[in-house]
Amino acid sequence: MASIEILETGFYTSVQDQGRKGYAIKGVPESGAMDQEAWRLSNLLLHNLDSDAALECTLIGPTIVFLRDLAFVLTGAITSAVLDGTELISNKVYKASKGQILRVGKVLNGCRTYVGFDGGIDTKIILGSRSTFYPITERGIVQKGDVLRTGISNMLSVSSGMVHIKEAKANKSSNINIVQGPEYYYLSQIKREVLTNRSFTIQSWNRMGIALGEPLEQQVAKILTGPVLPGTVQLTPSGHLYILMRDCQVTGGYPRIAQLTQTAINTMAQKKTGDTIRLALE
Amino acid sequence: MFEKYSIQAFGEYAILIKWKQPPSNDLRVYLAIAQKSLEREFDKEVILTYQELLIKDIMVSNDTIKQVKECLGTLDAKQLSLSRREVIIPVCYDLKFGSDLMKLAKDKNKSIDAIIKLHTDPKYMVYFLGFLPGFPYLLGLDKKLHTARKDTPSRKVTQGSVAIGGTQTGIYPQDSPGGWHVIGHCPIPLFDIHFSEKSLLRQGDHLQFKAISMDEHASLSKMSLHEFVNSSFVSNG
Repeated sequence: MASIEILETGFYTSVQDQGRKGYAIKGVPESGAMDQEAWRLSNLLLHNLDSDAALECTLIGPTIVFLRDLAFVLTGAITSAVLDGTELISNKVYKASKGQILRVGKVLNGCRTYVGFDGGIDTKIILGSRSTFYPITERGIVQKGDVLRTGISNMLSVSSGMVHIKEAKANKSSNINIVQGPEYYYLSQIKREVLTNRSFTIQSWNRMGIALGEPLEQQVAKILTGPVLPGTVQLTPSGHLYILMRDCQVTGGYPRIAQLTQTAINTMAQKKTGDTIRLALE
Repeated sequence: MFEKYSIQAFGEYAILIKWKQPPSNDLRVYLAIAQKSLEREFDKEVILTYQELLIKDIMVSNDTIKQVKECLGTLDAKQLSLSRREVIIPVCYDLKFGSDLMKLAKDKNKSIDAIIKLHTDPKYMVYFLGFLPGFPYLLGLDKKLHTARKDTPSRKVTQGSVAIGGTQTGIYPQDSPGGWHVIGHCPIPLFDIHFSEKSLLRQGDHLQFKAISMDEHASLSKMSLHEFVNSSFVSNG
């Protein structure tokens, strides 16, 4: 049933779940929530299914009107969210009434906030996932005027604040754990030390990948195109590092010098331009 | 011939297996057999590229690595019925589509017809799909057509563009930035979510380009992917 309508889209708001598994041999990216941990928490708090989809908000969240009474929760980065003027906190289940307006607002301490709804967002499953990715799905992001349905509730009864995890655990760590990638050995001993001894600044980012500012200043040969994964750290011809994220291609031709741990990928999902990180080899 | 390989963890949940030999039809056949066997053994997705296989979403441990080695040690080529599918890809090499064709011909000191002949003569192998949904990595481009990528990539290469970059040729399944030299246009979509198989091409397909006129291009562009794979352009051998 129609549950919410998007009044304002925010900066970059998409529908995300665990992503598409098993279609890499057709060249289809995985996609899925950038911060899988925050997305999973939204489902956990709402008693949703593991695979239920949520809205992924980026820097500035959407404004939403509820078309019926519905429970929701905010996870991931903290925002200045208000429900009809009442300030909201993260990781706490709220019950909205029909007609109420949720303004997710500005992200305050990270990059991405998830808005989970009781029953999960029920858009069409394409290749095993509801994650928006153009052209696998018709659009890459939600649009003004979109009316979204939600699935069947698994909650027996809902009242605001019935579930609340105190610590809003938006991951602010600047430590990014990596393991050696297939072409780690391309790096000289000195560059290996530089890799883990200096800090890197996020220069640009999107759902496909994150470019780091400071070059490693090592020219290395390209490789024959091989498999890559979300979390793969590539060394580009200019000597810069590029971290592949959830919407990345399934194959790539740059040396894969490192691979982020799963936790580190979720941490990276909360980084934005100007943030600094340190890579730590496990 | 391909018994020697290296095997390593690729992050916490993937195993990469790498061969040293340069890409070839023989290596590809071997990799396809190994891919199928590993998929059966682990019930996981296995990605095949030029010289590598990647087992995805698998717990990496000494036990699983041992299991991979055992599986690769007992490959049976007879288990696998390799695809013999042949796909003819119609391409209109009219200069209206082939925006870089004139310059390419000039740089190679060849006529446009000679370039088209060099591109349409070989039988290519669809080594694997990647880059964009449905994009084929093809083996078999004539050395005379190898051309360094553009220094400055075009901001938008149109869906269906047939292009040459480095040692490769391919077809853009969707509008995309790209640094390859566009020499023609294929009127058939390479990827369609409404088509049962989604992708026109499968890894392991044999592929040949066929030059078509503007009129043929116009009439073929009305064809759906479903109609195309059931037409005489695709033979299951």
